Amino acid sequence: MVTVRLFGVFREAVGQKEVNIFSKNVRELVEKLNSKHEKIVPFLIKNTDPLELEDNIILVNGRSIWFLDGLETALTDKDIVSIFSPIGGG
Amino acid sequence: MTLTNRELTRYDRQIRMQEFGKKGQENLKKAHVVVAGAGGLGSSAGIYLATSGIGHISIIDHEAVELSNLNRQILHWERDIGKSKVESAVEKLRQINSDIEVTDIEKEIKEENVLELLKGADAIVDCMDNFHTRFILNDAALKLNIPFFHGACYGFEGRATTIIPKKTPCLRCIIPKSPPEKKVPIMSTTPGTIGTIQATEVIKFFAGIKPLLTSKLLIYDSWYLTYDLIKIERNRKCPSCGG
Repeated sequence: MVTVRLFGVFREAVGQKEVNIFSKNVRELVEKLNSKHEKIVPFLIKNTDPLELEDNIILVNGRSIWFLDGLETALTDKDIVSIFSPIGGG
Repeated sequence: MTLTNRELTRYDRQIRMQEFGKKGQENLKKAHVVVAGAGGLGSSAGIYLATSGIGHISIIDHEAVELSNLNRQILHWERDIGKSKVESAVEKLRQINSDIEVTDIEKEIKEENVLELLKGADAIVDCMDNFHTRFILNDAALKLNIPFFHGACYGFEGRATTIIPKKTPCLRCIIPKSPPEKKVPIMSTTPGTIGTIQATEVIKFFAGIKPLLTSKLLIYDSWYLTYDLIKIERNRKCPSCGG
């Protein structure tokens, strides 16, 4: 099981701070989140076919997926995925 | 750098902390900290850096005070509307603490002038309201090898992390892509909390107190009243620090 930690709008959309999901990679995790939690879709997805993500921050064990393999970033048991939007106000 | 009798009295309550003591206070007195942005974050960070006795604070901003700033930018008051933010901020900080040096730099931070603006700085506090300038400051901090105390707000949510060049992830390790710039909603108190956390990190850094918010991103959610820490790692492919 992968632990997904959700913040801000993602926490609001899912109604939970943390969910556990079986996924072999980020693509599968995003698809499962989308199908299970409809309200998350507008915040997470830019396009469904082909799958394209909004400019959010997705970290796998503290590393941005954009410096790993993007949607194809592999996930294994006990990985921690954190999802949040970039915020820049001051 | 020795402390005067007045300073020993002024900072007595913090000097009484064993881990901080006179040595910690002397270290704050020696420090030159640049507060980049005199808005919501810059107001609360600036006030606490001044009250704590940071020896030299420079405030950089190029905007003027507007009515819509006053819900959160507590260094600016109704009478300051139309005045330059640095002028307004520096005037208050000098009244808060006349034992420290406060410099106003009324300039827009750009790639071509950032190193000049940061000349002599020992640390940068990121109190900006846009990613473009944050990334310029992030890269400058890496180049100058000085710590960069990041903070940001949106609505009831705030973030903070402490970046130490070559040791911790930089801002671009966490946020590789610049999101589009737009006016964002901010609850009045959010920058108060985050700016205070940034100032606390600066104080701890110069006093040598650990742990710091290094390699960790703090996510503060005042709607749910939660503080979460996310572990963050350096990225070897980062275009700014190269991990």
